[in-house]
Amino acid sequence: MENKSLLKINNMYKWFDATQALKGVDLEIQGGQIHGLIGENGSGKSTITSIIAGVKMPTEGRMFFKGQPWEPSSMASAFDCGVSMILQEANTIPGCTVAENLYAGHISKFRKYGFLDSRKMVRKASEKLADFGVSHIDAAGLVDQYGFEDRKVVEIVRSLSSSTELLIIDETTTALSHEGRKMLYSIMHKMKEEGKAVIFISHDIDEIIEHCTNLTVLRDGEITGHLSYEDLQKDDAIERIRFLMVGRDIGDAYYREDYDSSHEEEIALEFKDVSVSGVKNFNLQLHKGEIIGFGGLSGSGMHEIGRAAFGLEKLASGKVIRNEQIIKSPHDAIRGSIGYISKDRDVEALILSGDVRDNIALPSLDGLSRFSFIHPSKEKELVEAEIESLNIKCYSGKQLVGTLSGGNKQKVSFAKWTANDSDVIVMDCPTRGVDVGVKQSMYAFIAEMKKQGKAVLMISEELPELIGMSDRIFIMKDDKVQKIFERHPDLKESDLIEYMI
Amino acid sequence: MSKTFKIFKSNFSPLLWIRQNSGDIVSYLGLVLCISVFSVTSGGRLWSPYNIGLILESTSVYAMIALGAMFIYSMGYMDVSVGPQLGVYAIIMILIINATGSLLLGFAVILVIALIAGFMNGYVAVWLGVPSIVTSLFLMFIFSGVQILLMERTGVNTISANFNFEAFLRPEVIFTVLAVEILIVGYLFNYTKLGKYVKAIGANEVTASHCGVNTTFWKVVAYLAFGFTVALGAVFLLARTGSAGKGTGSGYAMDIMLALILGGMPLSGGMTSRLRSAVTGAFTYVLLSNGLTLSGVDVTVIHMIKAVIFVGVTLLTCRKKYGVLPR
Amino acid sequence: MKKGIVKVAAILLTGLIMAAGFTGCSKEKGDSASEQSRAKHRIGIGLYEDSGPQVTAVKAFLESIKDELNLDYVYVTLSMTDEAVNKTRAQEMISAGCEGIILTMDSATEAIMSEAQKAKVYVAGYLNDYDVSYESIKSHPNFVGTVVDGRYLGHGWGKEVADRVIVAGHKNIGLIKFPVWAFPHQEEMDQSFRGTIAKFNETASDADKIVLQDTEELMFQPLASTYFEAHPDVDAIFGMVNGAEFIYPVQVATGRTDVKLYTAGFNPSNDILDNFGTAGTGTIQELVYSNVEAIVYPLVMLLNKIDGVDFEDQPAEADRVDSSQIIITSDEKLDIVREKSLYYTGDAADAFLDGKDVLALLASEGGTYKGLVKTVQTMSVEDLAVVLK
Repeated sequence: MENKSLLKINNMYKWFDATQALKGVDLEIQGGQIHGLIGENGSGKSTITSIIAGVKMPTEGRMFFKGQPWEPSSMASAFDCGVSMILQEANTIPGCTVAENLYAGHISKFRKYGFLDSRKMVRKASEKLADFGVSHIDAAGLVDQYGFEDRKVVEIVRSLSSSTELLIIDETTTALSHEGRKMLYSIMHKMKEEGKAVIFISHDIDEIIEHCTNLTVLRDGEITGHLSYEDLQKDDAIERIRFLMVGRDIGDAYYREDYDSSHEEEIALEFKDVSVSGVKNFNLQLHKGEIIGFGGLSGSGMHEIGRAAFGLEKLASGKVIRNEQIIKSPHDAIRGSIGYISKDRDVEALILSGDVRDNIALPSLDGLSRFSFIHPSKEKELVEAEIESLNIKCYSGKQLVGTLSGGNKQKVSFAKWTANDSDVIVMDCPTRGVDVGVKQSMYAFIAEMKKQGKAVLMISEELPELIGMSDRIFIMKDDKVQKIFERHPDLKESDLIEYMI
Repeated sequence: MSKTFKIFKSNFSPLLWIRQNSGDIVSYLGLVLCISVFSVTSGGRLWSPYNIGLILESTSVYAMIALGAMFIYSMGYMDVSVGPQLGVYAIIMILIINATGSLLLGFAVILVIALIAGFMNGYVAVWLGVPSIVTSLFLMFIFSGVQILLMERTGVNTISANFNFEAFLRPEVIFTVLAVEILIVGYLFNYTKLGKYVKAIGANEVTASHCGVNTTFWKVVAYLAFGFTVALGAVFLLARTGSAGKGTGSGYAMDIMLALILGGMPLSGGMTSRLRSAVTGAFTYVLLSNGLTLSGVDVTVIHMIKAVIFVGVTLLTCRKKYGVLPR
Repeated sequence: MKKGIVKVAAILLTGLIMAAGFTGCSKEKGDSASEQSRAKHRIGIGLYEDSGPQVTAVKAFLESIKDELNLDYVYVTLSMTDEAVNKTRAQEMISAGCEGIILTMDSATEAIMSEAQKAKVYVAGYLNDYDVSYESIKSHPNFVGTVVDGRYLGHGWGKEVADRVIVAGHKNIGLIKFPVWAFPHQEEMDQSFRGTIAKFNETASDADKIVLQDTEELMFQPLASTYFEAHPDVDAIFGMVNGAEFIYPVQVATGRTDVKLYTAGFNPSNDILDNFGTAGTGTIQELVYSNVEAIVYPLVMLLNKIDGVDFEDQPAEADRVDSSQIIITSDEKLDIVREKSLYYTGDAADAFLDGKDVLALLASEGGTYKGLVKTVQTMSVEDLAVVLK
């Protein structure tokens, strides 16, 4: 049972126009494995898994599933044969009930005399949810009433059936709540026990080491290394994985190295008695040269505070003040030299169909223009400088942002505000879905901003980066600040988690 | 020098470039194909000085309005009220000219109305939170009603202006006005906040507002700019025949849209909007009719050929122009 | 994607090759003219529809005479609403090398006339009364006259229908017409119809008196389906509009085919003709249409100008002449139309005139203006019956 080969990939190539995404990949997945896949953005992890799951076709190469040639024509046919994938993006159908979402594509099972027996469907759906230990989601309710994280749980439940033998999880954990994550881990381990297999893609090396039985590392469409379970448990595993991913030694400097939490006296941004959505009477003073971190679960209210700082939320009371000006709209905020990096990068922060130049320059146009005239060479200069300083990988400023990798997109999202020379930057999940190499450069960049006297409000669901970067950390839960931690070398994740859950 | 080298050395690919610019390529391709095929099939008549003047004259109104419509279409909106607006403006100008003898006064009046209509189109939609097509439909009905009322009051089918429009129809005048408008709109569209912002709003309104763009304000500005070109177009439309009736202008909303699509303008608007769509599109649109007629193609077949060409262009230009590369 | 581009390019090319192909066809046909004494001329025809029985008949007729006269044609479709488009169409015909232009609509007329003058091209009207512009263009050097769709003034037909209605014994009559600003001469039909009936009522006994309903004005929409509810006792309708299109379908839909319909317009569809006179439901009692052959008037007037030979009895100003219409009032007349009318059969062999007849009408061939006018005014059903014999 242990060593049964479930899936075999031979010499696979994939081209997207002129871009080569996979360059001769060989991979074998065995029953009883939680097989990790890791690599920087654009390394080809998602390409491999989407080919396995029948979303894309390989340009060259063959696959075998349980010894038979494997050529799924669609995700649905792959699902019927026992291969399921949980996607990175939100994938529930809005306007439908949870039950309808769970059985989308299989509605005919509940047909009775030509009519849909929706009561039976809801009952089955409730049972299925209960099997996974999900009690807080109502099968008859509309899926829209649930948050992003719960919808993700619905997706997970949907993608599993008793016949599932290979489950592919594509960077899902970043989108999940703490409970959702726990549920997913237990599903993974249960499948392992049953001799089935899981392919697990994640950016989080700690998570991989904790749960995977073995790991394959990719770089630029090629496999750079395999790590066995024993390798993963060694002390140098993290360094080794990073090395394989980035192709060079990235050294120890990752987060900020200093523990100097001093800052200037001048207040850069102030919250006065701010009430926004659930948060009541919130007060905060962010000083020049200070990095304040906000940690908590997704519904803790910290994201709303970030939005309020940029004038995106209508305040029930109180005000956000910058330079004695009240911030009521993004327009005010930008005039006040505030920048905001949204966590919903592709929807809110970037114009995917626009090129790098348009995206980076957009917030700066107001400042660049004279009598509304925008000098193209000035605009170009500004953008080229940002591309260079942030090392954004694009063939030129004319490349469409939608064709960039995740990390480079996030760099563009940063560059918008550095180009405008913003003095206060609000970052909501600044390193979500970004790989190690880019993360490292961003942390260095944030540290540099502090040195330049800029103020940073960093909202994150990743505790290590909060501990590594912030001067002060506000931990939030239930719309309230539970505890404020000062920067300290001995601060540990477990200290913070206690106040989050 | 080293910089240029770096750009080419990096992963620049001709295929990707073609893909990203397919809209532009097609719009030129369409025009060039039309011109070359019709040059042959018309037996050279396409290039007669008379015909060139005729093409310029009949393109002028479409091009003038399409240029202003770029601001609207770039935002991913459309305007269906332009037809009846043109009709009403032409009639009002005739009435004013016949009463006072002043074209300038007529133009001033319709310009004011056009700007008010533009303001309503832009602001009311935002204010009431309805899609802009709703306000534009509302204006369409209002203007159609006014047009019929005005014509019924005159008691005849067509009214003519006692004014000599000869000067407006001279090719050099049309050419100059069009060139100046292209320069102004081109400047606004490519080098000012207005142009950059309308494209950004069309591509992603949320992002645009996160970047400090006051979307309501710029929507109104865009519609005002459009209103200005509608008023200008109305003058040249009137100049062509000196007359107007209850049906004058009807169909122009569709004509403008067709011209823009033929010019490679994506209906969803956004960053890939190019000003040349308005000009090449208007010329292609007029050339299609002109060339087919000059080539002696049967009228019943003309529709079919137009449909085939139209489908071809739309297939190429209205698809998504970027593919998200794998992570 | 690459495949996509190829595919779409193929579609585009197909379209353009189609265009080229169709030109090829029409060119070849044009070259087949036999040895000719007359020089080749090109005439532009602007119709207000691009298809339909009338278009088919006009084209069949013109094709049948083109070799004799050594002509070729450029057809365009005019816009019902847009003056500027109509000017463009006229300009395109000029650009395509037409020396004369025949137009079916009084739209952008002054602009077209000044364009024609610049280009030294002549313009004539066909089934077109130039109601708005006639006064201002009748002495224009490039305007050669027009032939009207029937009679310019509406009195005659209104009285004739009234006479027939009285004979048929209808007692309660509905009148339907278009607004006066669009069709001013329907007002005359209405007035003369009412006048004739009023005269009859003066002498008739009370029981025989005819009731007339108020005239219903249609805004170019079919008759409202509530019409018969509002006027339940109507037993006949005088439809000055094209009743086959605007009235009869409503009668069918509301089940009031018992109401007799006297109307203008003609539609060779069986649905209409099978219920005419005594046939079928017998709803339709009168249909009227103008002859497509009337196009010889503008054609001959244009060719005279192009030849540079005027009639000896040429009128001083461009004329607006009436044409005789086919007025179908009985089963026999309908049979004649079915057998012999070009409009119905679409076959040029059934036309009143052939190429030689038209050639003989030209001034250069010894024709006279009087002869030309007489030709377009002797095209009634009765004339058709004579031809048949």
